[in-house]
Amino acid sequence: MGKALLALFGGRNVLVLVLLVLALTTGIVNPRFLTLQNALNIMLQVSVLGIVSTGATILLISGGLDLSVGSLLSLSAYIAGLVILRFQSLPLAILLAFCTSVGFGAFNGLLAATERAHPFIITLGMMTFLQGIAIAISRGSPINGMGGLYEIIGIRDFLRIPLPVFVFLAVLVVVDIFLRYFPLGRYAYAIGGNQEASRLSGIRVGRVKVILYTLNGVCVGIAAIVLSAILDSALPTMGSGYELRAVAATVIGGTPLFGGRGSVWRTLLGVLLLGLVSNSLNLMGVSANLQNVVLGAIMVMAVMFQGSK
Amino acid sequence: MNLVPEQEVLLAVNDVSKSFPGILALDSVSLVLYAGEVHALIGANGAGKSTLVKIIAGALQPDRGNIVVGGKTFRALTPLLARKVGIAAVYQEQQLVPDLTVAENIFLGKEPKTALGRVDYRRMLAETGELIQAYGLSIQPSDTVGELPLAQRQEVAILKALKEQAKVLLLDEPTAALTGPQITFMFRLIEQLRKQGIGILYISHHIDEILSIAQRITVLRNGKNVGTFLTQDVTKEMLIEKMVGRRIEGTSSFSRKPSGDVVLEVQHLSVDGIENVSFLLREREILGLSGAAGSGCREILRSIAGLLPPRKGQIKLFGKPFHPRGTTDAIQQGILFMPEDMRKEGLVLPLPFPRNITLAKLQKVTSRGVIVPAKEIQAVQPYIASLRIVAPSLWAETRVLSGGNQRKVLLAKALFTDARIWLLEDPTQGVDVETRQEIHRLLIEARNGGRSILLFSSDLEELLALSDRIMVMHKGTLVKEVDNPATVTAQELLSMTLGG
Repeated sequence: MGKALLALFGGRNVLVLVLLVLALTTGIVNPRFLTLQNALNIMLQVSVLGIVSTGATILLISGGLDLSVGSLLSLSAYIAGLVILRFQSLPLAILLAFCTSVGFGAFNGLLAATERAHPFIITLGMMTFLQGIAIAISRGSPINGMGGLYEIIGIRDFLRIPLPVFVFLAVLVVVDIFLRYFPLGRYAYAIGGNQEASRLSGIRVGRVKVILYTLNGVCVGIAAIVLSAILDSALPTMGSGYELRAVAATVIGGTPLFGGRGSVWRTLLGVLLLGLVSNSLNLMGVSANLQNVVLGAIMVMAVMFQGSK
Repeated sequence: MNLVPEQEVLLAVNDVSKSFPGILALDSVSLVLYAGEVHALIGANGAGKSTLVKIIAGALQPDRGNIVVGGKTFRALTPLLARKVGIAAVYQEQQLVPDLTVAENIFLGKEPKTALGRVDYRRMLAETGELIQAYGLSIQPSDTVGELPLAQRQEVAILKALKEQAKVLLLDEPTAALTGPQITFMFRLIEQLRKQGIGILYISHHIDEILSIAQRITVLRNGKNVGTFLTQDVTKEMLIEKMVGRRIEGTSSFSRKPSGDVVLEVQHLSVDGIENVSFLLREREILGLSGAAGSGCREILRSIAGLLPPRKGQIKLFGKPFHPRGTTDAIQQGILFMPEDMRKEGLVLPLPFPRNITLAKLQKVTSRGVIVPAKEIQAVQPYIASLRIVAPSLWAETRVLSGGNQRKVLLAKALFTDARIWLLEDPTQGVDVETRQEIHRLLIEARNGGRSILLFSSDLEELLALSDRIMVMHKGTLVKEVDNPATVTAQELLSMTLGG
């Protein structure tokens, strides 16, 4: 019985199955769940997490990790907010937000490439550092009203699909192409699978790492713009918690923590699972506190059943 | 005879067999260890020494046979069980905790307690001190183990085994990291233990050392016990002959095209581990490198591959000075290093195996910087076919391939990369006889096809069969050059590498 269960849960298609069962039961309990409007709602809710998780997927495949993405998201979004507040210039705001996230992404990559400490510890430090900067420059106060940004991305939709969802899907497709068809993407898998063998194959491991962390920074920048557009505001702590949820979504999707394998489509499944669960709990009227209990339990079960291949 | 008269049997291994995928590592091996004897276990690489030791220590379980120890018969041991029945394995320093003191290590898990239930450090230090004195050692009970030199860490490991009342001591190359006086000291300690009635199984490939310390010697060859001898009945030459055996192989009759121009010139090269080594490597040549552990062969390969920067001397490639700053430079110049430990350094195991073949030269399968999957599959297929790589599918992860097929993937990578100079380390380690011959054929083909191969192998038959010339290394220097390997036997080559 146990073995049969494990065999059943061994493959990744299990996640699809879980998603379907979950959707069906919620649909029976609350018919509103199975509406197109609700599906779009879920997609909108997971779009920011999805963008951050896509960046995390690149890093996990290469055996890396960046825990500072939540703080970096806050800082970048807040800087964009400040620029809009002071100069009313949307292009400048977006530019500076990107410079921040890409710059610190690259900086994390440089630190990780020195091999002096595990990226976990390096980026844990950076997480506190960047959060500190965000709070210091904001003095704790939020910026309300992102002006044009909100009007372009936050409320617009195309074919009834909200723009953030398009942004998420675009990031997903681009990163998928990068990982599959670009030598750098191939090197990400190689370095994550065996760093020594990659070095002996002539791959400049340090350089590749810097580029991958920089790409992760790009994802964070996009997520920062999208999130502040959706919320129509910028808070110095708006990104906190994203770092861990992104890793969770990626791993639940089936990209292992130790590198060498994985894909962004698996991450899409993981992100959808998280979004679907909290959405169905909402619709079933489960209180927010209990929701965390269920969500946590599902995360643990999902990774346990994937086994340690 | 130095043996204790009553010859109490401490340990008997009966008809033990063990196979790994593709190889029979041990083929019904039997061995008896008496109380109060030093019993040496020797054999060439891959003869099965370490497999046997691991089985006795409980780290591996045999497929067949049994182990009798302390009057009880076991089908298999576990590490815990082995310790309980008095078997202690001293592998260099592994079981010690570097941050703890000598006394804490020796008493680890068995700390004496005071009346209040706290650890009785005073008693621990005192008892450790007595133990150290009893064996005339120079360590202090309060020394931190991690700060001790290797030789003394080994002494701590032995003391720990004694504290646990071990009757059987497994010593694996105990003098590997020691120098002259330390070796003498280690031998004195071993002799003292032997006189106490402890049985010592001593694994080493230093035949001179074995002849001076062991009472009996068991020789393993290709997983079989080819004989147990009293030390006074054998000579070094006899043992070497037993180790090498007389393997009949059809590999010596390769047809060879003549070698061409000089491709690589190494002049007065010194790096950590080698001193002032000079040699030439030609086109269409296999230059063999022979030497025991620590002889510097591996360092030569690594410094040419750009992994070890030279301290002195220079390397010339096609007549031009070559200063590789890393493997990337070496590969761009057509030099590919294929390490012995391919799982650790050679292959990316989670990648589908065709991607390991193309990894070092992806630009061959890209179009405007983008990988073209169809082109990649097409490009690797001829190599998979000609090297006869067997895999479940083209998407199979490299991890699931057998050891022999993984070796072939590495060679396919060298061919695909168009490397002109191959630096090979034990290319047939752990593969079966058939694959070994296939790999030999491939290497000769690669040679005749214009490649230059620098081949380090601990398999002497292999070196003799494949090499156009052989360089013999000993303790970091080039001691001999064999210009015509056909005139040399494996025994002669072995005694050269042992410094004879």
